[in-house]
Amino acid sequence: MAGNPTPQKQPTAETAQPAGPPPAKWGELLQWLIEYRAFILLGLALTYAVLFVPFFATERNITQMTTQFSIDGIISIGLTILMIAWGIDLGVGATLALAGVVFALSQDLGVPMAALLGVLAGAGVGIVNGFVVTRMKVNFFIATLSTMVAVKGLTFIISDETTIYGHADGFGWMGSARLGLFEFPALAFFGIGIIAHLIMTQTSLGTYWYAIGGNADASHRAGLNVNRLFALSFVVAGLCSGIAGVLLASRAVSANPGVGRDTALFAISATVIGGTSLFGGVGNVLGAVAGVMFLGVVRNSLNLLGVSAYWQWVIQGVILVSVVVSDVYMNRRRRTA
Amino acid sequence: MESNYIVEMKGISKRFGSVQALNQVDLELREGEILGLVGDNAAGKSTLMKILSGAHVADGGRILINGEEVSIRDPRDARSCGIEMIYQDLALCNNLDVARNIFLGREYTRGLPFLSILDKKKMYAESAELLKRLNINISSPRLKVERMSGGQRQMVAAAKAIAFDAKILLMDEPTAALGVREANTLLRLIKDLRDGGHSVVLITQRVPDILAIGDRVMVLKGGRRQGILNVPEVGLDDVVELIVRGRAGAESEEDALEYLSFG
Repeated sequence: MAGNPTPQKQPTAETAQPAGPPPAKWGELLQWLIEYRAFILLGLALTYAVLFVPFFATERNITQMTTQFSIDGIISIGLTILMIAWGIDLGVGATLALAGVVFALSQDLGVPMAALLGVLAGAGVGIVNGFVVTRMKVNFFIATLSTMVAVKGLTFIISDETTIYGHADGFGWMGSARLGLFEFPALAFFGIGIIAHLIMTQTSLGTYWYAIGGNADASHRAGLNVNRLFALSFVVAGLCSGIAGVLLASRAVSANPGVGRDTALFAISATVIGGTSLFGGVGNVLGAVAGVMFLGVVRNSLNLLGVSAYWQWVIQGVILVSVVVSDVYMNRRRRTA
Repeated sequence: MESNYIVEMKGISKRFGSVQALNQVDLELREGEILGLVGDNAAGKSTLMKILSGAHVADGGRILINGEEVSIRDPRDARSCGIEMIYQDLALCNNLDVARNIFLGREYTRGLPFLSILDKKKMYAESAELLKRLNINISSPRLKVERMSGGQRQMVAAAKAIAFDAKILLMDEPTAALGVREANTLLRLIKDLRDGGHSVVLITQRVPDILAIGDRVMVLKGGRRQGILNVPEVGLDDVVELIVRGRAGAESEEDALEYLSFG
């Protein structure tokens, strides 16, 4: 603009910093509310639960509740990264079951080794998903749905369709070790959340995942290996599912091949409530953590209030739909801005 | 003699299915000049530049940088030769801020090679410095691109291209989507870049733009080179005639008139 005699005429960067169509005041407010919805919802739910739900604010309940939502929550964190890179994994529940069964089947190798194998089984499913999506160019919905079915079958085959009980020394340690108010799964959830948050905000890898989810073409032209990064995000989701599966089996001191039916619904709901878009490129790990805690508090409160499981499904479905609607709305705003 | 040219493309051919997009095209770019690349739609302008920037690989032909033959198979190769392309559709990530876009794929980092920690302070400082040096009117490198105007996005794309001292800039219709004022600002920026020692290939439909700031103009038609003209020696009519009729002069007078009134 140097040397231009009339720089005030048009709204340039200095005058109209958030360019695009000037939105109405309530529109800005709505956008803000939607962006920080998970924290607001969590605050509301916590306030309500503490005040009105009997036995909610007891030490015993807090410990149980945090352990419960943490196992699915770890999966949510993996899904957040995957969905920022514009993917999704519908088979996280099947991966969770497989990891638990692998863990239990190999427990005679020693618990640490068995746990490692369980986690690696989860990562392996992620590698298969990444391969099928990026190399064989299969749509990720179809790809992860197919691997889900295959993984489920495999889990039942290797477990001989029965629950495998933990008998090795220390099998149940990870699921129940306790530090103050929290058990190990909750600590793992918060720890993984912090690590994932740091990766997404402070490293080039995190920036690349945002970049490929925002504009894969531009990322390719900038020299990023889009396929490898995308495949890696599937591995992250598989890895997190594997960790969750091992923790769940350890907690139950047994691996049931049939677990994980509602896992994907819970994990995806929490992720989307946490501000991650179904349209890629947008989202954050801390929001997902808040989303997990919100859904956890709601589920726990409904249990304490004696609401039937079927009503809980209805409520969770309604929450998911309203969050998806707000995501579609936000996405339209972003694209038109 | 050859070392006069910073870029030479020799006998470049490219075929997409049954379409021969480029047929034995030569291009020479001098150091520190603005070379206009003009031609009708589907003349092969963008394809030629995409080959130079590594987005496409030519079926045949050679590329020389400073007289030395190079192999450009992907954008990274092009970049290591000092070539940057600014695309018509911008190639920015709208969900990232200005600094992250400028440094995408070349972040300042410390720590492990794979899990490298971003040196955000340095990135923001250098981005702000760059915007200032180029007289780009964007208040902060922390702004997300999705909140910017078309002109501002073009400026970010230009800043991104020259952030790493690319010597050769390829610009695909940078002014196409801009208003007159923003277009003029961008043309001034391109001229400043040339004066700062960059060599620029400017693809455009607006021939007057080239006549205003260019040094030479090359005309493509039907995937073949029709000629290179020295800007000071030609007028709009000469260029348009070459665009519409080509060397052979096959098409009718009316097409030329139509194009003149359009340009």
